[in-house]
Amino acid sequence: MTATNRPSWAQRNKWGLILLLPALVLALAAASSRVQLFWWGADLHQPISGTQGRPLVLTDTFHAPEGYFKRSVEVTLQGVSPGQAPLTSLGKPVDTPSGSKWVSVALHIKADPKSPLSVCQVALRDGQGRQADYDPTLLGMGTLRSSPCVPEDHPGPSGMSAEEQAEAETEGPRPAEYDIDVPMLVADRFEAKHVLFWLNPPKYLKISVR
Amino acid sequence: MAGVSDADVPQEPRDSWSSRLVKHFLGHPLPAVLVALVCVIAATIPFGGFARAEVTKPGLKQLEVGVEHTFGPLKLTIIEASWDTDPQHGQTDRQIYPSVGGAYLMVHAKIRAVGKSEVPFSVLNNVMRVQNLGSMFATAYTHDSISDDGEVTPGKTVPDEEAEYTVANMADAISLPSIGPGMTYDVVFIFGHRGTDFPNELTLHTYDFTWRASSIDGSFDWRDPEVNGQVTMPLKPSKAQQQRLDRASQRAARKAAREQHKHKRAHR
Amino acid sequence: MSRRTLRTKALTGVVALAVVGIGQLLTSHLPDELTELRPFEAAGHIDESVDVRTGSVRVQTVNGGTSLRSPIAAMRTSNLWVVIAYTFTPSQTTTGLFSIEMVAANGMRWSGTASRNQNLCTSSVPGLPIQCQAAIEVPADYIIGAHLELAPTADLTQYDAVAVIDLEITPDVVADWKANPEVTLQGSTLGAS
Repeated sequence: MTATNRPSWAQRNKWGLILLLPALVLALAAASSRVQLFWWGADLHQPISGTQGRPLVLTDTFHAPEGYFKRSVEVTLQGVSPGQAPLTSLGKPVDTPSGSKWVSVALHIKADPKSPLSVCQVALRDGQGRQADYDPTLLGMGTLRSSPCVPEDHPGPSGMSAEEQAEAETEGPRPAEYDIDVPMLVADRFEAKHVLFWLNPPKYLKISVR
Repeated sequence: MAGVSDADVPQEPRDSWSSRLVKHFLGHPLPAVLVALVCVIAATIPFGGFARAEVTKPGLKQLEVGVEHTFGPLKLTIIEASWDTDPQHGQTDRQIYPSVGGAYLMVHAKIRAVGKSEVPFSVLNNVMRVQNLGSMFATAYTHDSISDDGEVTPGKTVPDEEAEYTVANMADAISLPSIGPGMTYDVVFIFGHRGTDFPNELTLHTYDFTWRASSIDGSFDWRDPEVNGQVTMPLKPSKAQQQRLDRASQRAARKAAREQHKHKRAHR
Repeated sequence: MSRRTLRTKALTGVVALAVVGIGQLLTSHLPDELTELRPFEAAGHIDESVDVRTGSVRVQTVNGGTSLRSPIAAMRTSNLWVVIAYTFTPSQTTTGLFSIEMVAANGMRWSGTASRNQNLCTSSVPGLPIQCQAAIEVPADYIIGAHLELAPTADLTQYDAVAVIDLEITPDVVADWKANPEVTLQGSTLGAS
């Protein structure tokens, strides 16, 4: 054995060195799949921005027991104004908690009456990034309508099955286009800068208030 | 070792056969170990060799009524057993309703949680099962049910060792799903039973648990309930039930007497 | 074999030992499992506001008795019922406070969601306080010197912020609670008290 015709260390380990890089990349990518699984899809990360008065379209693919479906909804923010306490089922105004106020968000919504929309969510965001969600359980069950963005008497289908679609037909289909006021409860000193609207995170509409 | 070449080894004189053998074994540890191993194995042959020992299940421990026994994190003192068709008869704050088609079998006991963490549902609700009884409903409250128009739906009966119970706190008859550390309760273990035909004696099997990590996520918990004890005690109707039975038999006796009286008059 | 190979071998040995040594040193400085799961604790007292990541919490009153009257049922016990009234104010999102535990000096824990215990605290919007109440059943013998741990998410206080509130439970307090026949639990209400 002599050192002269023996290949160098780098030459001997050529393939190992070449494969090391993709192996590292693959290992990192595999580990980062959790970001996608547990974080990215679970919260609002993909804004579609717009301003008050301009229609914005949100399109998504959703999963129902019958398969995958596409739906599309066009939302126009018409205004955000100080609101009145909504009425309970008995016709009395809801008690406004001390330290809070009602804000009314006027939306114009255009969507296929056959697509299920009642899962939609509405929130207000202020200049400091604080986010007040529409939460029907805030003041106890039954005081606020369960979905912020569909008319209570014609909510449209709750899913894609034949029964769910038929049920919506008998209730009377949801109009293809309608105006709706969303009563939002916020703290006294909360000034809304953006209205958020989403169906399934991470995609959402971020509409700035004029 | 590096640096030693064949040329360095000095020529040695030839040894005898036996001394070569000794040298061979002393110089190399491996054959010596092997020989030792063979000897050990040979020594075990009279005792059955290295075969897997037969698993002999130890007999069930005979437990005593009124004595505290430990089952995993739970200390349990069984006091007595009774049965009743309507244990909360006449009470305003009802948790237990009259049985339809059967009776409640009740084991009175005192329970204590001895560890630093709570006794979970999986322990509290698997520490005992009834034996040799038959006609047990699946759970404490799944008896037959009767609808408003009088239609009876029979409840499901299961083998004795599958009959589950509810642990009700004696103070308020509300079920305990688990008990916190350090807590003591007087409780009733309530089983459901079809019919009111009970033997005079009740036998319970008790179960112990193993504190081990889950093979899925490594979390520690009391797992693997395994039957380890047996307790036998008299089984009687509860005091209220006995009064109910006495009243019923008095009524029956009075009725029989009336019938007899009528009979006599008719034949006079 | 030359002197050079011997030197290379010696060098390899030294390097291997050094690498193992460095590894050992690194592992000894890494946080162990218990430390890495440890929550971020913030100590406080009754009537003091403490930050817990998603908002701030203030324990207002702590009361005890031998039975609990709640919207669900009347529950009697041979132990003690402790009712804790507290305020939670979300800072950034619409949320509530979902984990409350009483912890004894000896390490025993009683969770507000275990067994028959209740933590009545729904959600509120940023900046608007919510008045919450929790009822926890505890053994009278172990609670002297106990403290309260409040955290934003249920069942998972690892890595999270936890408010540790001294409950100031003395033998006199326990005696008072034992003599008190009933404590009441109401639901949560929105708004400043």
